[in-house]
Amino acid sequence: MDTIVIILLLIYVLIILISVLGLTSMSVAALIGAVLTAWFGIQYGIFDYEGALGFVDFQLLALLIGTMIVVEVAKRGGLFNVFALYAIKISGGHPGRLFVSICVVSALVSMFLSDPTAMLLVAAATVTITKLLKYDPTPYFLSAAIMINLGGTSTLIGSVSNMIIGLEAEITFLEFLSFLGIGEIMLWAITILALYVIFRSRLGKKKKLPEYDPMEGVKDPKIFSRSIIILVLLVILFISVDLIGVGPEAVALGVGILALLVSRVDPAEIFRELDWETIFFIAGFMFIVGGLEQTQFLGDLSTQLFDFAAGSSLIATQLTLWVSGGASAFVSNIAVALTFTPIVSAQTLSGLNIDAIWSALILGTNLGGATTPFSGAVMMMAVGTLKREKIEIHFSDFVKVGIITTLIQLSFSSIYLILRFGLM
Amino acid sequence: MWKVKKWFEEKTASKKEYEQEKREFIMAIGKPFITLKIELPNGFDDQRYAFLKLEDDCEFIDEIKEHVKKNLLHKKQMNKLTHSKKMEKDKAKQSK
Repeated sequence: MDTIVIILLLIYVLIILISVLGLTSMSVAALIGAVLTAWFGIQYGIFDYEGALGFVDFQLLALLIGTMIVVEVAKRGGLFNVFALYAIKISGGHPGRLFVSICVVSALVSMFLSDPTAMLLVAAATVTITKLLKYDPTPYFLSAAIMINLGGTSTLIGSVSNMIIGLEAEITFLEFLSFLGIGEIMLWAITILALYVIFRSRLGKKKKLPEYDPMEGVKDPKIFSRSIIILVLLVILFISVDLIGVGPEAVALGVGILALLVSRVDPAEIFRELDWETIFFIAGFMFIVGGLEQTQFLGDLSTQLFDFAAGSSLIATQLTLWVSGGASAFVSNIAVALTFTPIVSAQTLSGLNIDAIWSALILGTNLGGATTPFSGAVMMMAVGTLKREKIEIHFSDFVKVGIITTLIQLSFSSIYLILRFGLM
Repeated sequence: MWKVKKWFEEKTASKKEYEQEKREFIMAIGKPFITLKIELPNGFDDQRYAFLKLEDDCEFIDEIKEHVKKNLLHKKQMNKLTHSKKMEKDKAKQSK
């Protein structure tokens, strides 16, 4: 192995370790890694300065920023609060129905909101209602966290890793739904059922729900109604990108600008609320992965990994699903997506069923994110919030539920991918 | 173990953001509440400590609650009065 490959690999591992251990923020760690990669890469003649600038995928950053702006405007109107309030209202105080409602609304809001933002909102709603009805909040809370992680898997813009994989694989919104739509619906149902079975005895008894109007969640009526139109427009335009002839990033940015224009909220306030930590982490990590890609290391790794498959799409798909799922149980799923994308991309012309492998990567990177409290931001936030509310939770309980549901989800995904892509 | 606990607490979103979100849900589902900001009145600088203790003084809080009830009742009666006066005016106009 060349010296430069070893150096860049060390940088990669170091940055992952720093991020996992929380020694500094993820974005700062990734940016330090980017500087080191650029420095060593240029010194060893692997790439030049101009070449290094090409490592940052501005399409991805535009897609991310555009979507974040639209969602932030919708959040300011209170759209997602109204969702949550309706979900609680339709349960009528019945614990089973409340549990299912919280699970569904958690997944639903995380289809649009980033996982930490969705967790903040669902955590506040769950704590309020469970305290009011004197229910044990832990089952509702942990299930919500797992469903938030799952909800993000469901659309092309549901999670950052989906955007990363979708752009590289050139999967359209409709293709995404065609590949994974039915599987996602079934995953939601299976996960809710599994969580219900685990927590059934701890949900509490039926209590009277106080009378309230869910529309009280509307923070600004004008922004609320406009944000609904904007979100619908965003989805329609994402679906019809092929007809318009532009990329999803142009749609996201265009609708983002429109959202700023019609909401009349001070753009500076919206920009301040964007998830810059994630944006800078991605930009920095793209550099690290881009450098490794230039050394041919990722290409060789791809060849070696897919050699196991021996030309079988079935084995290649299962390998991708379980390896990426296992990796994202320990490492940020954004890092996993950024690392695996060039590995899978190298197999485009190999004759393997590449759509099945991309779908496996989408499922693996997302589903692994709820395995342990350390797997992702949403799980960390769930534990942190329970602690803040002085709610006792055993670490082992959390890990047990996380591992069981992740195994169920990955096993189901294995079967689904085989059936959906006719891999047998 | 305390290091793990501390780490999780640090990883949680800011307390302010969470409390703000929770407040919105409490206002919608639970009993609505108001938070008042009352400054130390002029000329009472020597009673700074007693003033600060009022925040936890149950007797004082009960007095404020009573005052809120009286105020709301008064507003209700005033509304009724205005409403009936308006009705009378309307009736007078119609009879003319």
